[in-house]
Amino acid sequence: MLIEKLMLSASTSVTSAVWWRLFNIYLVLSIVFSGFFIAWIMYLVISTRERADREIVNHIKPGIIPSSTRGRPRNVAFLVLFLVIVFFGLFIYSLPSTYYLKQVPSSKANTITIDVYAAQWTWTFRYPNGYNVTGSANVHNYTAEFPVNTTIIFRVTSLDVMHEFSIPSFKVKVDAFAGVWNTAWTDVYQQGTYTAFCTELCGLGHADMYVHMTFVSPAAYSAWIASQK
Amino acid sequence: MGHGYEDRISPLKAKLRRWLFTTNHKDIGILYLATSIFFFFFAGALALVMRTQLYVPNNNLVNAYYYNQLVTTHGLLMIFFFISAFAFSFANYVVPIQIGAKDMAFPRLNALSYWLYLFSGILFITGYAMPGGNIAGGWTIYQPLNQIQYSPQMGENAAILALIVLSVSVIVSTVNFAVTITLKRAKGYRWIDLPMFTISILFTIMMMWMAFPIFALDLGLLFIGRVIGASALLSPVGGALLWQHLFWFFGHPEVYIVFLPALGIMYDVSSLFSGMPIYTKKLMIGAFAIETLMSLTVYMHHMFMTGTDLFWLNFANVNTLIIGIPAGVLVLGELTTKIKGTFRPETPALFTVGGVIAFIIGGASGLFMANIALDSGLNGNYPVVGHFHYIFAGTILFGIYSGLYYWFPKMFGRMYSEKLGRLHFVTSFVGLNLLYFPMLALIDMPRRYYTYPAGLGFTSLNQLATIGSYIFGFAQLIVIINIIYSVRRGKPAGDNPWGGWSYEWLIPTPPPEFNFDGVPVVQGDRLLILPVARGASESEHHAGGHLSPWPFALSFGIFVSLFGLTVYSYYGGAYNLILGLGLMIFSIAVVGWFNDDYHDYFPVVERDDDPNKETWPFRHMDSKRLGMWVFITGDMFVFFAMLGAAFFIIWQSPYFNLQPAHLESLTSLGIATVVLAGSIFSLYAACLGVRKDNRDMTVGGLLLTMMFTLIYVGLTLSNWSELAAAGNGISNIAKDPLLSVFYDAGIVHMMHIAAAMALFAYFLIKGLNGRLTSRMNSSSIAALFYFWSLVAIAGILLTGTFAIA
Repeated sequence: MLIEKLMLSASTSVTSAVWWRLFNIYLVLSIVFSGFFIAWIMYLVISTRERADREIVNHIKPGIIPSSTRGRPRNVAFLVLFLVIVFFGLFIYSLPSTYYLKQVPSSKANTITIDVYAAQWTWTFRYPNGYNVTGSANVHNYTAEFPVNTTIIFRVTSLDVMHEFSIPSFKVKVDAFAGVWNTAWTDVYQQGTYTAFCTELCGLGHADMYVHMTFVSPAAYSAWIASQK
Repeated sequence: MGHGYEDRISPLKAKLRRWLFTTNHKDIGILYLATSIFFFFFAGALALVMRTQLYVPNNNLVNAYYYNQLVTTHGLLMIFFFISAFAFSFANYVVPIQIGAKDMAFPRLNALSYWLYLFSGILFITGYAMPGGNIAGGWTIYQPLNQIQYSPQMGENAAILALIVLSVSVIVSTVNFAVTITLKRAKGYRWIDLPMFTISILFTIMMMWMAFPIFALDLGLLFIGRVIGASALLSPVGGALLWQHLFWFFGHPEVYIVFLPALGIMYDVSSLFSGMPIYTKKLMIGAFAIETLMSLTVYMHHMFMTGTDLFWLNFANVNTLIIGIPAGVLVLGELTTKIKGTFRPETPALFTVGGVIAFIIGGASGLFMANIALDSGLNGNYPVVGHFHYIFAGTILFGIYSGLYYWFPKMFGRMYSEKLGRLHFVTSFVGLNLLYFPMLALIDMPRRYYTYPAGLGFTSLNQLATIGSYIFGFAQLIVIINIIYSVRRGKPAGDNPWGGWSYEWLIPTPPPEFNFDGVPVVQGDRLLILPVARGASESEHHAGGHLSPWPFALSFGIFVSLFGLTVYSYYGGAYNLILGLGLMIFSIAVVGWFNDDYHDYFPVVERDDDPNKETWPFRHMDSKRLGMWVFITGDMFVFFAMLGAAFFIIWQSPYFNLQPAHLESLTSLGIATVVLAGSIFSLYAACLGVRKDNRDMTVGGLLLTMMFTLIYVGLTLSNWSELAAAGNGISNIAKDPLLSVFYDAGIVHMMHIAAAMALFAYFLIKGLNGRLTSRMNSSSIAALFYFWSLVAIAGILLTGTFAIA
C-alpha cells in the first residue's frame, strides 16, 4: 500500500492505468539496477584510486601487448544471463499490456467510434452522426465533448503530411498517415478537459496543433451530440 | 613538423600547400579535428538558442520558422558533421600508427574524404542564406513533409545535396579504412591483439559499409522528387511509410556507427589508466560483432506507432532487447576492467567514468522506450530527446573527449592543462545531468515544439534544462581554451606520457612523416620497430610527391557544381553556368588525378607485396582489388534497396494504387542480358590481355566492352523516350510509384555506367600507349572488372524486375 502511494500515477482512464502500472515497475527496476551499477563504478574508482600508501598496480608495459585472456568468461556469462532475465522477463510481463493497449477491443457494447482527421495544423473529430468539430491553438470557440465510461475508438488519418495523434493523459498515441486509417482506443473514467497533441513534426504550426477534449457523463454527452447536427 | 619537402619554398606558401594538398593521415586527422570542432560549436550554439527559447512558456524569441530550422540542422550537423567526424579525426591520426602502417592504403582518397566532408558542410551552411531558409523537416527528413509542396525552401535542396556528398565521403573512408586495417598491419600483428580502438573502428566501418550507400540512395530519391516537383515514391499514400523503412534501415546502424568508436576509446583508456588488461577481451570483441550484425535488424523500434502489425513490432522489440545485451556487456566490461587495478584519475580516465555513468542512465531510460506499450506514452515526447542525448552527448561525446585528452600529447607534442581538463569534466558532467535529466521527466511534453503553453506543468523542468544547457555550453569553452593554450604553452609531453603499450606511444613525438623510422614488426607479444639502413627508400619518400592538389580541387568542383545545381533547381535560367563551372573544375581535377596515375607520379608508401605486412586472412588480395570488393558489396545494398522498394510497392499494390504500365519488355530483357553478359566477358578478355601483356587483346577487349555498353545505353534511352511518348516519361513519375522507382533506379544505374565508361576510356588510352603492364596494372583492371560485373548484373536484374512486374 505504501509503495502504491509513492508511485507516480495520474490515472484517468483504463489505458493510462495500465500504462502507469507498467511504467512504475520499469521505474523501480531501472532505479535499483542503474543505482547498483553506478554505485559499483563509484566504489571501484574510489577504492582502487592511486594513493601514496598503496602499491601501484600496472600490468601495461610499453611495447608489450597486454594479455587478452584476463577475466573469466563465466562471469560475463552470468552478466548476460542476468540481462536476459531482466530484459525478457520485463518483455514477457508486459506483453499482455502491449496487446491490451494496442489492440482495439472487439466487443461492440457501449462503444463509439470517432474519426480523427489530422491536417496542417488542426484536428477534426467526426462523430458517428456525422457532426464535425475542428480545433487547434488558433481555432477558438469549439467544443468537443466525449462520454466517460465508454469505449472510445479513434480512427486516425491525415489529410496531408504525417502527424501523430497523442493524448498524454490517456497514453493514447498513433501515427496519422494520409490514405491509411490507424486505430487507438481508451475508456476514460474521470470527467474533465484533456488535451490532444500532435507529436510528429509537421511544419510551421506543429506547436499549435493541440486540441482540448471535454469528457462528460454519458447522459450529458448524449444530450450534447443530439443538439449538434 | 620538419617535412623535408617544405624547405625549398617560402614558409607561408609551404604551410598553405601542406594543409590544402596534404595526403598524410596525421595532417588529415588534425584537419578533421579542427573542422568537426567548428561544427560542434556551430550546432551547439543553435541548441543554446533553442534552450533559451524554451525557458519560458509562450516565448517569442524565435518563431516556428526559425525553430524548425534550428532543431533540424542542430540534429543533422551534430550527427553527420560533428560526432562521427570527431571520432574519425582520431581514427585518421591513430589507426594507421596503431596497426604499424606508414599511411593509409589510399592517401589521396583519404584527403578526398576530408575535403568532401568540409565542402559538404559548407554547402549545408549556405542553406541558411537561401530563400526560404535551410532544411526544417526534422533530422529524420520524414515524408511527405519534406517534399517541395510542403517544404519549398531552397536551402533544403542544398542540405540534401550536402548530405549526399557527405555520404560519398563516408563511403570513400569506409573503403580506405577497410583496406588499411586488413592489409597494412605490421607483420605478426594478430587481429585479437590490436588495440580496442582500432577494432572498434573496424566494426564501425562495417556498419558504414552497409548503411551509408542506402542513405545516399534515400537522399537521391528525395532530391530527384523535389526537383521534378512530384514523386509518387514519396507520395502521401504509402510513401511516408516506405520512407521510414528506407530511412531507419540506415538510421539505426548510424547510431551504432557513432557509438562504437567512443566505446573503443573508452576501453583503451579504461585499461591503461587502471593498469589492467581488458577484461575478457575476446568476448568483448564478440560483443562488438553481435552489435554490428544485429544493427540492421532493430530499426523498426522507431516505428512502434505506425500501425504496423504487432507481430513485426514484437520482432523488432525482441531484437532490440537482444542487441541491448552486448551493449550492456560492453559498457559493464569497462567497469570490470578496473577491478584490482590502480585507478589514475587523469582527465581521460574521468571522462571514461562519466561516459559509463551516462550510459547507465541513458540505457535504462532507453529500456522504457523499447517497450511497445510504454512507447505509447513516450514516442515523440521529451524523454526520447533526453534518452538519446544521454547516449550522444553523454556516453559518445565523453568517450571521444577521453580520446582527445588521451592522444593530445601525441598529436601536439605538449601536455594539456590537467586542471582545466578536470574542470571541463566536472562542469560537463553537472551540466549534462542538469540538462537532460529534466527531459526524461518531461514525459508528456511533445518534441520539436517551438513553444509550449503555460499551465501544463512543463515550465520548471524546462527552466532547469536551460540552466543545465548554459553550464554544459560553458564547459565546452573550457576545452577550447585548454587546447589553444596548451598547443602553444603546454609542458613538452615526451614520447610516452601515459606509459601506453601500443605503437603510437613507441614512436617519437611528434611522429615523423611516415610514422616509423624503421620497420614495425610484431614478434609474439612484443611490438618492435626494427631499424633499416637509411638509403634509397627514404629519399623516395621525401621527394615531395605526397602532396596532391586533386582531392581538394575535385571536392571544390563538386561543391561549386552542387551549389549551382541547387540555385538552378530553384530559379532555372542562367544559373546552370555555375553548375557548368563546377563540372569543369571537377573534370580538370579528375583528369589531373588520372594523369598522375598515368605517369605514376604519386609514389606508393607501402607496396602491396611488402613482406613486412600481415594480411591474414586476405593473403592473396591487394589493396585495389580488396578496396573494390568492399565498395561493390556496399554498392550492392543500393541496388538491393532499389529492388526492395520496387517489391514493397508491387506487393502492396492496392495500397499504392498502381496503374499498370509496361516499363520493360521481355525482348529488351533478352537484348540487355546478351549485351551486358557479353560486356563482362569482353572485359575479362581485356584483363587477361593485361595479365599476359598482350596489348591487342587488352585494347580489343576494352573497345568491345565500350561498344556493348553504348548499345545498352542506347537501348535504355530509346526505351525511355518510347515510354515518354506513351505518357510514362520521367516527368510523369507522380502518376505511378513504380514508375518513380524505375526512373530513380535508371538514373542511379546510368551514373554507375558513366563512371565505368570514364574508367574504360582511361584504361584504353593507357593500353593504346602500351603503358598497361601485368606487373603494374593487373590488379587495377581486375578491380575495374569487379565493378563492371556488379553494374552489368544490376542492369540485368533491374531490367528483369521491370519486365516481369
